[in-house]
Parts: sequence; C-alpha cells; structure tokens
Amino acid sequence: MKLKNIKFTIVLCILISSVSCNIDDIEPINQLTEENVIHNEKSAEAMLNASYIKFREFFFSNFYAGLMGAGGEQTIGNFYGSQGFNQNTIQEDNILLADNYKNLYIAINNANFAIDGLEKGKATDIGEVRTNELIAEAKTIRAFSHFLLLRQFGQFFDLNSTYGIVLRMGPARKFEGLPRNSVQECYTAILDDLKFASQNGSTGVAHYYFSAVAAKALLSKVYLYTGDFTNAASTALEVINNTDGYNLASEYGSIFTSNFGEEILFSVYGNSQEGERTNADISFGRYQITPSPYFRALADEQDGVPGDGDPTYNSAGYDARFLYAYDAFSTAGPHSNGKIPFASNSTEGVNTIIYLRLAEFYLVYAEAEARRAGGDLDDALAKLNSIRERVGMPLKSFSTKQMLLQNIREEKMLELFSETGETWFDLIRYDRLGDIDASTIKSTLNSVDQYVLPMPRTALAGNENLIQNPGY
Amino acid sequence: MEFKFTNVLFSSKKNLFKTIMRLSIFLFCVFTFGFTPNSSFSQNAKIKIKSDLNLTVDEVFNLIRQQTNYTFVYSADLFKNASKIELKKGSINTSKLLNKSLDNLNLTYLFLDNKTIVLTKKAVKTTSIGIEELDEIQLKITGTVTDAFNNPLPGVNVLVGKKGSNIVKGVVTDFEGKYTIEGAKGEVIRFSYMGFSTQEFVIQNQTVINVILKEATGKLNEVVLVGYGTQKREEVSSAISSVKAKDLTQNIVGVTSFDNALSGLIKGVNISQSTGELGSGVDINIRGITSPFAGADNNPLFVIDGVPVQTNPNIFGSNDNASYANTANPLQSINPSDIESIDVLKDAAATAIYGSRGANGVIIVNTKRGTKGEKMSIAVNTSTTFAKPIKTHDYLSTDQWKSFNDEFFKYSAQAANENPYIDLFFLSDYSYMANLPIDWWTYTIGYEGPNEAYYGTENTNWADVVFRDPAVTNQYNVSVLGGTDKTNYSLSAGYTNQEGLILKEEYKQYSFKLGLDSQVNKILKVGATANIGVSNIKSGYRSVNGDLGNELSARPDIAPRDENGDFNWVKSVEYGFFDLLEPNPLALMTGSKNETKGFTLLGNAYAEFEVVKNLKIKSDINVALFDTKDYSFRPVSIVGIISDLYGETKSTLGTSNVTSTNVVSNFTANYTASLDKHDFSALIGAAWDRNYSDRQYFRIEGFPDDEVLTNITSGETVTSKAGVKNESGLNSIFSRLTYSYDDKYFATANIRTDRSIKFGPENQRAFFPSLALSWKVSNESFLENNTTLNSLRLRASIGKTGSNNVGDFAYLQFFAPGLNNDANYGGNQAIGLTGVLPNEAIKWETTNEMNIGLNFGLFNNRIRGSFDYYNRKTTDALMPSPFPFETGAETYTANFADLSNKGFELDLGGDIVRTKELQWAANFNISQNKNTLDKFNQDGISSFLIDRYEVGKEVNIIKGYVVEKIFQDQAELDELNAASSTGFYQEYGTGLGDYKYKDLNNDGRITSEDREYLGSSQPDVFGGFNTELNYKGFSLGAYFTYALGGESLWSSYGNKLLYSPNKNTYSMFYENTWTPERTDAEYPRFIITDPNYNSRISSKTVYDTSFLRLKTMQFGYQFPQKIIEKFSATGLSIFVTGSNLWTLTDFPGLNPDSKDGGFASVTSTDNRDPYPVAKTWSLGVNLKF
Repeated sequence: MKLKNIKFTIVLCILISSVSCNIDDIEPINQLTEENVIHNEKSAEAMLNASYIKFREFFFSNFYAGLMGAGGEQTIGNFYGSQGFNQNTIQEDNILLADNYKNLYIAINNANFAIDGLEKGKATDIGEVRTNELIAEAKTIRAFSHFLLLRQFGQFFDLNSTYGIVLRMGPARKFEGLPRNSVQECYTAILDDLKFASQNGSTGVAHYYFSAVAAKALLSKVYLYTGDFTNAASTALEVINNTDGYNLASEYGSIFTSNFGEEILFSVYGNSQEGERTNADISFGRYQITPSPYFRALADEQDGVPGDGDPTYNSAGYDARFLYAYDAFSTAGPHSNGKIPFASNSTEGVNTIIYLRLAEFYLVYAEAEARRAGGDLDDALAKLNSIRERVGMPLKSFSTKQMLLQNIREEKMLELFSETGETWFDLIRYDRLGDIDASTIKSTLNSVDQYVLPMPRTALAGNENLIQNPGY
Repeated sequence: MEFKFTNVLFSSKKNLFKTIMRLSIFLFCVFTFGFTPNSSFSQNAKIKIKSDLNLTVDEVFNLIRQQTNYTFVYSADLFKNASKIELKKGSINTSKLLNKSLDNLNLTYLFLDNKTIVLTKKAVKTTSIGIEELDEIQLKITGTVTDAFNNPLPGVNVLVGKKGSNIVKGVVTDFEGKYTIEGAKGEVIRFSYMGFSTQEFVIQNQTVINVILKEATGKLNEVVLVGYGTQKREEVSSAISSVKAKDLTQNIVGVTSFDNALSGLIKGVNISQSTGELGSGVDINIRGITSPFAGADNNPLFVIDGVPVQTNPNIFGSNDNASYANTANPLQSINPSDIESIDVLKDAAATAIYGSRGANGVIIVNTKRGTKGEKMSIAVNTSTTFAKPIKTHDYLSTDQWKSFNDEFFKYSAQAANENPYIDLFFLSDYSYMANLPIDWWTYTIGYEGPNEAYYGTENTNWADVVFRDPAVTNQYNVSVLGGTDKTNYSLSAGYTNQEGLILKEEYKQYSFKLGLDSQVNKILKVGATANIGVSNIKSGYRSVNGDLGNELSARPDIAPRDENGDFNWVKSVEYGFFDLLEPNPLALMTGSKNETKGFTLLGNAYAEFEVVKNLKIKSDINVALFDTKDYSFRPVSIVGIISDLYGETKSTLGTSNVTSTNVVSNFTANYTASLDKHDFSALIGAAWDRNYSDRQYFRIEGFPDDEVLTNITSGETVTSKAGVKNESGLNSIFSRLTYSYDDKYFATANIRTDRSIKFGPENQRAFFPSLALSWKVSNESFLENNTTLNSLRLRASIGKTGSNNVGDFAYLQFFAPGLNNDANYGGNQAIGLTGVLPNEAIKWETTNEMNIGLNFGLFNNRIRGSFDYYNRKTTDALMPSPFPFETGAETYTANFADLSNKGFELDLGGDIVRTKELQWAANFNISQNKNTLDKFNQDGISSFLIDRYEVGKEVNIIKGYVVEKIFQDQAELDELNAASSTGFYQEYGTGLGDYKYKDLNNDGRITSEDREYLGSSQPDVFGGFNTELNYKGFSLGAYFTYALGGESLWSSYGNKLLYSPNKNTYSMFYENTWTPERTDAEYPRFIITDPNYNSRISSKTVYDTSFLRLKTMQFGYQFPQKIIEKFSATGLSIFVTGSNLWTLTDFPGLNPDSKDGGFASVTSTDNRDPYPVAKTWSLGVNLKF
C-alpha cells in the first residue's frame, strides 16, 4: 500500500510539473520598448519618420479645405467634417478638429521620444554632429506641430493671452493631463526649438525632410507671428538667399508636378505606387472646394480687367495661377484642380500637401520688411513682384504702405490658395494688426472668438486641466 | 419476437448474419481507421479474483460493478437469506460468476444495453421463498408496459407477491414491453424500471394489466454537464438549459455547423444568423450584452468535449493587416450529427467555474461516446438539400428603368434650375445618358429626352442570373459506437458537399471524430477524443456582410455575357468626362478566385486515478488548433474597375495564414461522500491556459495574367504585409463544493481565481465566487402524494464572473512599425509609438449576477416547465476611454462603463396527446432581456459609434430624425424657411416632395439635435416553439423561432434614395415616388444628389424587425421493426425537411434577423441586405445497424 502511494505521488508530481507553467514567462513578442527602440542612427531616423507620416494624415487635407472655407478663399462642399467652416460656426465636436489635434500631438510625442533618446546618446553609431542634426530635425517637427496647433487652437495673435496650447516638451509615458501654456510660453518654446534647428540642422536633404533652411523659414514665419518683424525680415531674407539649393521654380505648374522640387521647403512625402498615399489625392477637387466669389473677383481683376472671366473658367481674364488651377480644358486635370495634377493611382507622380515653399517667404519677407520700423518698402515691393513676374501677371506699383500690405496679403492668397489655408491666418493677423476688418471680407466673422477654433470636445473630455477657448 | 434471457447474441444464425453484416458495413465505411472490434459482450468479461474469498451475493455484485461498469437492479431484500459464495483466486467469466451466484436462488439475470443487469426470478418456476402458503387461484396476467410516449419498455421488472412479504415471482418485459406472469387476487403486482417511478397494483380479477410508467421526476438519470464535471439534473441549482440530440436532429439537416441549428431552442439564448455565406457562423448572445465596446466579443465560450473554444477568436489591440485575415468558423469541425448533448450555462453560479471566460455564458457540447460492453452500432445518415435565397428583391425591368430615369432627369433639371443649391454640374455629368444642355449665360439646364444610344435592349434580372436555382448540398455521415468490457469507442466520419447560393461557390467539409475511454486497471482510466475538421470554400465573390442588394442593382439593359461568352462590362461616365467600366454583377460575383482552407483540431486526453474510493484525480490536456489559409485573387480583367480618372488598377492577391492554438491543461481532484442523508462532493483544480496566435498576411499587386500566373511568385509588388505573433496566458485555480440533504436541499459553491497577463501588475488576479441553492419542494412530505403538482423545485443563485476583452499588456508602452500608409516615409521604415497609452490600473470587467428560478411538472409530468429571473450587473466594463490627447496616444482602454441586464426566461412543454398510436407534444419558450447602459463616457468612443450609446438606454440604439410627412405646399416651406435663423428650415436644397422632419427642439430648424431614439437592434422578447406529432411510424415536427420588438436601420432603402440613374433600383419605387403629378406617392421625390438628404437615418429608414419564422419542418417515417429486421437493421427512417420556409415580418429587407459586422450583437444597428440565408428542402435517410 505504501509503495503504491509513493509511486502514485511520483506520477502525480511529474504530471503537475509537466502541465503547469509560470505566467510570468509570457512576454510580448516582436514589440519594442523605450529601452531598445533607438539604438543607432537608422532607428532614430525611423522614429522621426513616424512623426513625418502624421503630416499626411488622412483628414488633414479636409481640415485645410475647411480653413480655406473659413478664410473666405473657397466655398467648401459637403464632405467629412466640413460642417461650420463656411459659416465660421465650427462646433467643438467637429471631427476634423480632434483628428488634427490628436495627430499633431502624436508627431510631437514621437519627436519627444526621439529627442530624449538621442540626447541620452542611445544612437551609438553616430557622433555629436549627426546626433544634433537628428535632434534639430526632431525639434523642427515639434516646433512645427506646436506652431500649427497654436495658430489653430490658441490665441496666437495675442502675446499676452493665456490661451496658448499645451506644450509637450518631453515624452509622455502615462496618463497625464497638462494645462494650457500662455501664448508667450508657446512662442518661446517654438522659437527655442527652431533656433537650435536652424543652427544644427542638416543640409542637402530631400525636401520632404526638415533641413536647417526649412527650420529657418519656419523661424521667420514665427517671428512674423510674434510681431518681431526685424528678425522675421532678416531671417526670411537668409532663407531667400540660401545656398542649400532652395530656389523659386521657374515655372509655376512645375511646383505641383515635380512633387518635392527646388521651391519646396517642406512638403510631405507621398508615392501612391509604394503605398504612401496622401489625402490630397482625393481631396480639394471640384466637389470639395470652389473659389469663393471674393477670390474669383480678386483673380479676375489681376489682369487689370475686372469682370471678364467667364463662369466656366475656360477663358483668360483671370490670374494665371487661378486659371492654372481651374481651366478645365487644359491644366485642371483629373480633379478639376491643377494644383492636384495627378490621378489618384497615377504612376506619374503624387499629389502632396505643400506646407512650406519658398514663394511664401518672399511674401513673409515683404510683409515683415514693410511692417518693421525703417523697413525698405521698395525691396518689399520688389520681392512681391518677383512672385508676380514668374507667372506673367502685371507688376504692382507702390502707392501707400497700407496698399502694399494689402497687395501682399492678396498675393499670398493668389499664390498659395488651395494649399494649406494660409489665407485664413493672414486674414486674422491683418485684422488684429489693424490693417483690415475681417468681417468685410468674410461676412460671417463677427467676433474675435471665431478667430480661434474650439478645442475639440474629445480633447477636453480627456484632460480636465484643458480649458475651452472663449465663446465656445 | 421472443425474448431470450441468456446468450442473446450468438444463439441463432440470424444473429450471426447480423453481426457479419454489421462488421462488413463497419469495415466498408471506416476502413481508413483499420479498427477491428473485439468481442463486445460483457458477460464474457473476466472478473479478477485477487485471492480466495467468501462473499455475499451483494459483495459479488459490487465486484462485478467495479470491474465492468455494470449496475444491478434487484429488490433490496432479495438475497437476505442467500448463502455466501466461495470464490477462488484467478479470473472468472462474468456470466459464469453470475450463474454461480444466482443458480441456487432460482434467479436469472438479463444484460441490458444501458449498462444494467436486471435480476429476476426464473419465470418458469414459482417457488415459495416465504413461509406463507399460496392457496389462491393463480391468474395468468399479461400486459404491456410503455412509457409516457407509448414506447414499449423492455426489461421492466414485473414482480408479484403478497403485500409486505418478500417478492416471490418476477419476470421482465420483452422487447415489445410485454410480459406474462401468474398472480393471485389480493397480491401486489409491482412494475419497476431504472429511471422510472415504480408502480404497484393490487390484483383484482383482471388478467390484462397495461402500465404506463412515468419517468421519475426530473429524470433521475439525466446528467448535466457543468464545468469540469457532471451533475445530476436533479442537483443543479443554477440556470442551465440543455438541448438533447433529439431536438437537434431535425434542425441540423443541411447545416454545416451545429450553432446554426440552435436558434429558438434554448430560453435566454438569442441567436441570429446574419448571412448565408458558406461556412459562416451565427451570433449567439446569452442574457444580454455585457461588453459592448471596442469590438469585444459577447459570444459565449464553447467547451467541446472538454476543449474550450472561442468562436470569434478576436485579436485585441493589434490593428495590423493580419487581423483582416479570414478565419473559418471553428465549430465546423464538429459533425452536427455526432452531438450527444448541449448544455448552456447561463447564470454566474454556473459559469463562475470558468471565471474570466464565463461572463457571456458557456455552452458545453459533448459528442456521442460508446458505452462499455455496448454492442457495436453503426449509424449512417445521408441527406440532400436544395436551397434558394430566402428572399430576393424585385428590380425594375429595362422599360420601367428607362421611364423611371426619364422622370428622374426631368424633375432633377427642374429642381436644379429652381434651387441654386443644386449644382448643375452633378446633373450634367449624366449627359451620356440623357440630353442635358447647359445654358451658361442663364446658368440653367434643360432636359431633352434620353440618349437612346446609351440604352441596351436586354432585360436582365441580375438576381436570377447570379443565384443558383437551386443550390444542392449532399451530406453523408457514418458513426460507429460501441465498447468492450474495458474500453469504449466512438468513431465517425462526415462529408458535406455544399453549393453556395451564388454561382461558382462551393464548400467541402470533412469531419472526423475519434473517442476512446479505457479502464486500464482498477485505479487508472484513460481516454482521448479528437475532433478534426477540414474545410475548403471556393468562391468567386467575397464580401463579408456586404450590401448584396446594392451589388445587384446594376443596369438591367445589358446581357451578362457577350456573344463570345465574355462578361459584358457596365459602362458609365464619371464626372461627365471620364469613361468608367465596371464589372457586371455576374462578373463581380463569380469572377474572383477565392479559396479558404480550414483545418481544425479539437483534441483532448486524460488520465483519471481513483486513488482511494470516491477520490478521483484527473489530469487532462486540451488542444484547440485552428489553421486557416486564405487565398483571394481579384483579376482586374474581370472584376476590376477601369477608370480614366483613377488610372490603371492591377490584379491583386490577398493571402493569409492564421494559426491559433489554445492549450489548456487541467488538474482536478474530485471527492464524493455520502453519509446517511447527506451527500457531499468537492472538486479542486488548477488550469493553465495558453493561447498562441500566428498570423500572416500579404497583399500583392500586379500579375502577368489573370488565369495562370496568379501565385505569389508571379506578383510584382507587395503592397501590404503583416506577420504577427501573440502569446497570452491565464493561470487558474478553481473549486466546487456541492452538498445535498435528503434529496431535498441542495447547495453548490464555486470559486475560481484567475491570473492573466492582460492586466496591470497590481490587478492580474481576480476572484470569481458563486453560490447556488435549491429546494426540491415536491420531495417534502406535504407534496409527496400530490398528483397535480408532481414536481417543484425552487432555485436561487448569486455569483460573479468576468471577462478580459482587452489586448495583451495594455499596461506597457510599445513601439512598432506603422501599417500600410504609415509603414514608410520617403521609402524608409517608420517606427513609432503604437498609440496605446499605458494603463497600469487596467483590470477585469466583472459581472455580478443573481438568478432565481423554479422548475415544475404538472399532471403526471405532462406539463413541464421552468422559469428564471435574473439580474446581471456589469461593472468596470472595458471601453475606449478619454485620455489627454496631448500625450500623443491614440487609444486608452479603461474600466469605465457599467451595464445591466435584467430579464426572465420561461419554457413550457407538454404532452398534449399521448396514446399508443398518437403522440402530440409541444414546447414553448420566451425570454426577455432588458439591457441598460448605466454609466459610460461617450468621448472615448469613435465618433461613428457615439449615436449608438446613451446612458439609461440599451446599447446599439438607433438615433435619427422623425419624418412628419412629405412637403406638399410651397407656402408652408417658405414660411418655415423664413422663420429659421439660418434662412433654411431643413436643407438648402429642400423642395416639395421631400421628407419634412420634425423639429423636436422647436428651434425653427432641423439640426442634429432633432434626432431621437428610434429603436434598437435588441429585441424585446425572443424565443421559439415547436411541436411534434407522432402517429405510428410517422412523425411531423415544426420548429418556430421569433424575436419581437427589435429595430434595424435598413440602409438599403436609405442608399436607394440617393439615386444614381446609371444603376437600377427596387421595383417598389416604380410610379411610387413623389412628383408634382403624383403627390400621394409613398416615397419622396427622386432627384439628383438627394439635396434634402432624404436618405438620412430617420423614422422612414428604420424598420421593425420583429419576425416569426418557421425555422424547420420535418416529415418523417420510421420503418417498423418487423420490416427492418429483415435487413438486419435496428433503425431506418426517411424524412423530408424544409427550413426557413415561411417568415412573418414587416421588415422589407431580405432577412429581419441579419446584422452587419462580425460581432453582430455588439456593433450592429444596420441591417443591410447581406448574403441571404437559404430556404431549403431536404431529403434524407437515417439507417442504424
């Protein structure tokens, strides 16, 4: 009996030990953690790429189309998230707001992890120079995202305002809701990042990466927004005179057909053949946006003969750039918008989102130079006209500084329409600087509160320290 | 037929012939197994005698019982005076041992199929054992003993004796239930039979006594499967419903997996079949939704022959391409005709033993097993099924379509000219179909009649072209059951060859089953089961729950094929400029090459030691392996879209391979004890559960041709790829204690503790306790002799279960390569945060449940029923929750929501008529579940889903506008517009003939605030009823299923209101849409772009989905024993079955029961018209040897 018990116990023990297993032995498979995600140059670049892809986020171009509607440049149709933009009655539950807000912070957080890892020297196969180049690139991404957020969701036009945005200057590793920073704090952080980037950034890179010159261009724009016109003008001039191969394209149309050409300071990479699509491939077409009567009239009068443009946009009588975009029988292309020249699955090229291109900085320079104390108004006009000259439009002449500033604003619209909605921000800046009354151009704008988009409701729900903008 | 007591089977040539027949059929059918049956007759089994013994007869029987698994039936005092029997060490044949023991006692014995040995007095002799003299006149009494259904009961003990004395005479009934016995007036005749109540009569002068034995209350011998063991039905205090094979047989004809057969059979279990696609499963919900968010699975856990199986093995938190990989329904591996029993564990008291996997109920399925010593029996079932879609839509004929378009263009042009908000361009884009000149200077558009050149002359109804008429299914099953003295076995093989409703689709399924149990020695018992399924689905179309109604709405004026037999293309023009060629429905639905191969193995093996008496220790290992290979080639030359606008498209191949393995090992110890009136049992066990999944997916583009070089090698570019492995684990310890007193009071307590890697370090362990009590009132003395209420049992239970519907390691932060569009930037890899914001506090969802119920039997158990009321409260349901967006995360899962489910379940069954010739029985069940979302934060939910949830309402609600009427009066519209702050009451484009929506908040305009609750996809009540009529050998059965009070968005209708003139539409619209001349039409005006957005979700697009369906109807005939004996068969029946023959519903779509989405009960509010379910007729034969 005893022997049997012993035998049985042995069998039992063998059985239990063969079937049981420790749960702590289970580990995640094929998953990187913060410890090992950055280990060399390539892995750091891969993390920056994860930030860059956010700039082609699917609904960003819908959002920019919305801004075009808000700024009176275009009348937008009925598409995903279009509600309220035409009428400047954007609601906090508009889905594009949350999409934009969330994705820019994803870009920031990836950049933050990259900066953190690089600063800790985790990319062991590169020296200080290359490390700083990568940090510069990451900081440009962070500054650019913060800047986009600030001018969309914060009172970017008022340095004394407490309605900035939440700055995220370090990796987020847990549930943590920070309050909004003041506008001044935001600009300071953005400028710090961009100063570092324009000093340490790389050169000779493809134009879908942020180089030192791109960082500098952004820096000049941020100076302009902060009212530091002197620095804005000098920095913009450095950009115009760069030696890193960024030049005005000789032919307007080539900006859009060559994807990442010489004029591009930063546009997001796309290649539909390699599975890197951008939302611009399908958006911005005839069914999404049509020129507003205000913009059409503006384009119509550029040849000096107002009222001669026909409603089907098939004849001359408009600004050349306007016709380039909309002439259905020559350049308008498959999407009825020449700035989106390629069919959706085209092998010829890809429609990208152009965030920064050199022509804008001719006009940034012109505006900053015109506004700064002791600015050279003739040079400002000359830079404006060099943009007009390229497309063969009659050159502007100087009458008053006020007129010059108006010309610069209108030129920006004519040059940059249906790209990322720059018209909207110019409208607000000019209004706040006292040059115009925005409501005369966009009649549905009748409160300063409308100059800032509402914080997305879902963002407010997740962060109890986040407060809503006034008026929402 | 004469019944013989001994040597039943080898006694005659006939039997020898029968055995040979049986053997040869057996070998013929399952030769692949190469299995030769041993002698399977237990009376030849050897009984081992360890040493010389001197035993009482009772002790001898115990010995036999232990070694052979036989039980004995005899009168308790039968051997009181018997002498002891001497046994020598060695082994002895069972029958010899019995003879030796019984010969002196003038008793004989009978082996029965159900493991019972009946002892009786040798009928031929009537010798007095008692001392009283028998001076009465002996009457020869004859009669028949039957059960309540008039089935003859063979083997019933018929005993005659003086009241109060030892029994003196006994016989057993023969195969036809007949007996003959002598008895005297005043003596007592007693009929007793295992599982039936004993009946006694005092003999008067009658010579014929026919007896109907009623089953012992609650079916004493009925066993219910509970977690990790069985309980007698009598002892179950929790809510468990059972389906017996008998109820399944009719419903499984022509279906390929048994889940399709369950709807309406079980109270509290709501089953809907969304699609009739080949190999698709059903959606099963037990007692409401507990976890409605984030694709969580609310389907129950299946435990098939001990192997746990999740039917929707969804993969959380891995939004990689591999999660799109197609997987086969794992239940297909079970041959439906192999199923012995299905027990559905519903309340927490029953499911708590499954702990974290039990929140949605557990369905335990056991397949048939042989019995030790049972004769080998072979069953052959075969059927042929003819199927058609349950319903198809009617479409406009070509002439109707032309005139419909004529009207459409006329009124669209008119509307575009009148209303500046309707863009002329949209209309002029159809210039290829109609003459629509634009006057640019007045900016108006005209309509000058159709462009005749566009229209063809054919008249094609695409539904007729695409669907088979009929689709044929053939099923063949062979199963063999039997046992030897120590081993029992079951083997089966099944083959199904099914044609899909759509042309070119075919499904082949092979299933195999092997089950073995063997008593190795006195201590050790081992066994193994394997269910293996192999399936292969080929089709030319793939759309999981797509809108088939839309796919078939192609223009009717072209023929499916041209004169060369090639598919005709559907031509149209996009945006007025770009030629577009689309495949016609026939090309689209038959042109692709899809193949899904599934391999499923459910296997287990166990060893059980009876260490000491009543203590059993069992170790088992269970493996569930699902492997699905999917190949889906889309030839652009047949099903591509050729578009000038979107440029060249390429043929694509999607191929995936998913292997999911679940290994569970259990170790249990079970102890039972009885003391006086106390019965006690204890189970304690540990389980280790490991789940491995390995998924690969490739999408490849560009092939040199669409016929031959369509393999991976021939593709040009890999456009998408994924390979993902997961491992997760759960360690558990569980225990169950049961106690009962005097067969009146019962208690069961369960506890389980689970530790899962899915949760934060602090919350990995959870406890799931439960307690169930019941009181068998009818066993109390005050009810003992009540003839009306002959059975009554009250039950109450409480318990807690959980679920872990969340991804693994949700408390850790990971980095990974992006997917698809986010995989690369500038051609280089992008590796970033996966977007999951770590939640260290994440833990289980818990559901607390209370259940009270009663079971009753009335009027000699002619009416039986049960009622349950439950209240389940789920707290901390995992849901996507709001998180600070500034953290740069994309998802955050937290225990946030609370839900409750309350409801009742009732079933009622009865034998309306039970005579020898005619039996008529009916059963009915009804269940109500009220689901309420008690707490929830909508900001975590995707904006697409927000409308489905509202605190205080059930989940899956439908919100929409309320249609008041169709606008008929311009003045009214003008007035409403004038009063609105925006200048428009409704939409810019609203005109006469459009729906007028109700301004619910009275702000003078229609905004999203004017939407209200229009219904929900959850039915108010559901259930089924069935009835069966037997007359002699004929039987007629009907099963109905119903669900009342549910609503669905019928999006097919909404979609059709946004009319594209180059597509066909339903004929219900013909001459029934609003025009100025037809103002009483049922439907609103059809004009370009639907400027009023009539297609929005509104009271007009949401329909009641209540239905009553005749799910199956069967007419069968069972050949009488006398005829089939000639073929040496033991059973032969033929039947005709119809399924889904009739549905009563107001729902206008194809099937009120359909839901979209894979986890239908969770995400669905929309009933598109998916792949229709089938209406079938089947013919079949069941043969048993």
